[in-house]
Amino acid sequence: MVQELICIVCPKGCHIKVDGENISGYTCLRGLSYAKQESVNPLRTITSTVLIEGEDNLVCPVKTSHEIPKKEIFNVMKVINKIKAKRPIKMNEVLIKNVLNLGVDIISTKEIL
Amino acid sequence: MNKKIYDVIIVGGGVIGCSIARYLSRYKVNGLLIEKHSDVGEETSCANSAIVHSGYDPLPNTRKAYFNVKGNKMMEEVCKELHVPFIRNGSLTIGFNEEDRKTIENLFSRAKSNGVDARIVEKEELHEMEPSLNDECLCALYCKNSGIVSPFELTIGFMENAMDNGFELNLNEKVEKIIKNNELFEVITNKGEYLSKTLVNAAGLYSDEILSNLEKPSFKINARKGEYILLDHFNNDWCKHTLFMCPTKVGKGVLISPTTSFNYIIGPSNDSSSKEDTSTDTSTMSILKETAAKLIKNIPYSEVIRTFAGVRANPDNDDFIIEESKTNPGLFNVAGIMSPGLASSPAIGEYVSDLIKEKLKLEKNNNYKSKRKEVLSLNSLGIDKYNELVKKCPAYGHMICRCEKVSEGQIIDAIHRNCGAKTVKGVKKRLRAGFGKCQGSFCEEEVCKILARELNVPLSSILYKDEGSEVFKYKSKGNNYDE
Amino acid sequence: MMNNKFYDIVIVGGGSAGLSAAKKAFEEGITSILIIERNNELGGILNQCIHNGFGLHKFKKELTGPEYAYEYIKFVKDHKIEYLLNTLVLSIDKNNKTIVCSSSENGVTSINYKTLIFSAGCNERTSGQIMTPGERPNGVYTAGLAQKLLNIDGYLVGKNVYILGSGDIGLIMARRMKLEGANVIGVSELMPYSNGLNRNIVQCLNDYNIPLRLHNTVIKIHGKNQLEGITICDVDDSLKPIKGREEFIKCDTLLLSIGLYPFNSMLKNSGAKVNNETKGAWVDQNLETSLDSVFSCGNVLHVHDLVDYVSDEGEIAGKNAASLVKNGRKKYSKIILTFHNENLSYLLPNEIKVYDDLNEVNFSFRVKKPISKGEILFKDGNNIIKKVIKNDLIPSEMVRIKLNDIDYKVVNDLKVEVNEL
Repeated sequence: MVQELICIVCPKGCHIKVDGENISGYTCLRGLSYAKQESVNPLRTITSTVLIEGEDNLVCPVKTSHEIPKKEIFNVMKVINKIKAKRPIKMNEVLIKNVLNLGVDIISTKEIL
Repeated sequence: MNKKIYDVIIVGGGVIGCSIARYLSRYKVNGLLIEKHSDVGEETSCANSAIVHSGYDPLPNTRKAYFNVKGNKMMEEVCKELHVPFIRNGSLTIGFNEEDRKTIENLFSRAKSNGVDARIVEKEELHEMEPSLNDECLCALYCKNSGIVSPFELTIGFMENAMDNGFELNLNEKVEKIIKNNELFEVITNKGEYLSKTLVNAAGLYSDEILSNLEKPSFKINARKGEYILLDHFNNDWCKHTLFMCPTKVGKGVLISPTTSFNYIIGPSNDSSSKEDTSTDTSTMSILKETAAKLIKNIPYSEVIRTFAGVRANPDNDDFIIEESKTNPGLFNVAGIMSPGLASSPAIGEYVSDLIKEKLKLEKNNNYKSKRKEVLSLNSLGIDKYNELVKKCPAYGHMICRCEKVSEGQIIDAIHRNCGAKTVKGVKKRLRAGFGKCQGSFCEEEVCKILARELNVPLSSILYKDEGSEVFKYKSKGNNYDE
Repeated sequence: MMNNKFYDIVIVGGGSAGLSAAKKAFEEGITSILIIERNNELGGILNQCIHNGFGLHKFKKELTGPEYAYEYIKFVKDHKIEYLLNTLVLSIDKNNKTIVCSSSENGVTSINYKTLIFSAGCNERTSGQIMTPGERPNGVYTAGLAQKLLNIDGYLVGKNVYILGSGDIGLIMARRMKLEGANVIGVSELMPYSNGLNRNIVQCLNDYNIPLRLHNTVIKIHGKNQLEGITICDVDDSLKPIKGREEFIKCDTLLLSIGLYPFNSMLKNSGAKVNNETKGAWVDQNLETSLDSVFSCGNVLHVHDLVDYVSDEGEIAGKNAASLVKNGRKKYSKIILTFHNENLSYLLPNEIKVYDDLNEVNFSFRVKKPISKGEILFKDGNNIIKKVIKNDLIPSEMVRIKLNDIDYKVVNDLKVEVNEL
């Protein structure tokens, strides 16, 4: 199966074709390594919010501490949607440890004292 | 249980219905106004040219001529009593050629017959009065008594004042049926049933439909849509008068006018439409621009903040219908109030209220207060007095709308008055928060939160305008939104 | 008014530009600084930009908006730089070097400045400004407002969302709405190319199978009270809708990502000269406006695509304001005006004041259309002073070039040309 990717390394946006080992359409080495990773296991950082306990719908922004596999995005969102953070929330406080055993934490991205 | 019997029920909370309510409240009257929208002044009254015409235009001896001239004379006092912005900026009806000059001379003599102060100004003086005008502008009929008013605040001011004097208002209530029952009118809405000795049909575009509940209407309302372009207040000297174009065989042209908030309005178009159709379209906008360019070249359309359209209730006989029904005594039709309806509104309100007073032999309301509570702002008070206010009520120091400089205190006040703001649009119409260049993208969130707090309802129930227009629709977290 | 407060530097706006100006001015030794912020916290629009991708230039790591802001807010708090929250600046009086601002705590008060840094950010264009035809129901939001409601207040403005404009905020919001459970139907872009970064096209649209329609726009808004749908239509090369290519889309939300413009009206009303191309202030290389000792930086000067560059600009304003406070006004020998050719949509600075110690000028500009292979020429008349080859120039990415090896004393006027090779 041939995968078609748009390279995000620079504004040029090369259209890269990946057919197994055969990669074409890239114009630089950074593009090649992007295509390799993206075609095998695309990774993404997820950012969202979580509710704060005892507050009327106030939310705290969060992110995954590292990138997670793209296919896990909505599974991770389900976990994020369930939890509530407790004030005071420190910057980059771990709110969910090792989410879904992915080896990645959900951490706060704002200080809410 | 005996049902309350009203002396009068007014169907329709436009500027006319609200004006009638206000003038009726000078008498001891059990009155109720029923409005289907979430606020008064939601249809024609909130989408028009906002002009208080001098009265040179209507044919002599018409109701239009009579009420226009009288309403214009009353407007200054009324707006002072109700704290409504009104400026007598004068109008110029501009001619571009010798044929137009003849029309202008005709209009001049019509103005004289209607008792309107007018004179013809020639090119040199015209261009001194209005330096932005195109060189092709040759002469004009100048009417110094023409003015501009905030149609939102006038409508709201009338209703608030009526309620201050005991009149009742039911919003979000649509009249579904009216029955004449032993000399009483039984008004059935989607929410209740009401009895009244008299009934005022001020239902604007729908007045023929309301009337058909009781009798075969003797008139038909034709909907005419007018589209407008609104510019930001970029320069207070750009255009000071209301500029009309001399009417020709082709049409009335368009007007350019400042508004009371020193925005500029360009329009209207004039097309047959359905009563509900307040949409704008690209081709009409191009025609407006093209036509307006005859008055002023290089209009800065980069300053556009909004386009809008209003639908006018044009009766088939081309004059206001203001009369008691012969078939159903006690029913007063106040219909077909097209332009110059806004200018005529105080005169119509006074006149109709007096008809009802005669009919019901109403007594004077000795507690009647003609003045509405002042609307406080930094502009109206000046810094020192405003700071005294902030000391007493700190919310006045907290500015919410940064385009139009509207404070939290003003919003709180607008919510808690009679006929108070209940929606985002309601706040906008009363105070201009969200009316500026950013069109609410900065303050809408804050306005919703203040509304929720002051009305003591959940944030998710705050509406933009009518039912179904919640702003904070779905909680992103928790149980409210599960796929 | 008696006993006005007085500061060496007053900063209007506590977002990324203002915060970085404050930090730089403090580092330059100025302690009498006041930041005035209309919101209830510092950080400006960064607070609602909870996605990541900020700080790659400035901090060499990927941060979210609130994290990026935190780096500066912490500095301000740690060094006890003064700031006022919930305070709106109402006007600037250039003659008395005073601003008037209002808050619940202090009422309407005047504050005197020695120098003023205007960093009030930008506004989003609205449907009214582009005269979108149709009705005016609830449900049509600028992407930024919807972002604030979602990321700060925790509310979705609708469930079935369409997006007009492929600017980055629109793309980012497509992903955010989708992640939080809304159905994002598609994105229309009037131009034949997207105005967003490739990265956002890939990670915000393609990842979620959200279609992007190029050369397409919204030609009608339906629904009187609440949005019921929109009509979209393909456009021709002159960007006019093509008859027969209309499509009705049922949706309850239309998000607009159709451009930003500097919120510069207050400076304009105070008499500052305006750059008609950016709608921001007319500035010299120090970012000083035509008003004496008033500087402008960040999105209120010209709209940026990267916050890192906003911070850089804040630093330039902060540094030069600090220098003016410390050293007073220096003499300059002449003013060089800058010009550009038709391939640029604007160029900053508008003028260069040739001070004795002038050695560096930062130029910023955008190209009008994508240029895959370009040369950038700096010319004095026909004389080429400097030539830079740069590929893959696109309108959505601001170009910044620093020139510090030029003898400005011999330059008469300076023209920047971008040419397609």
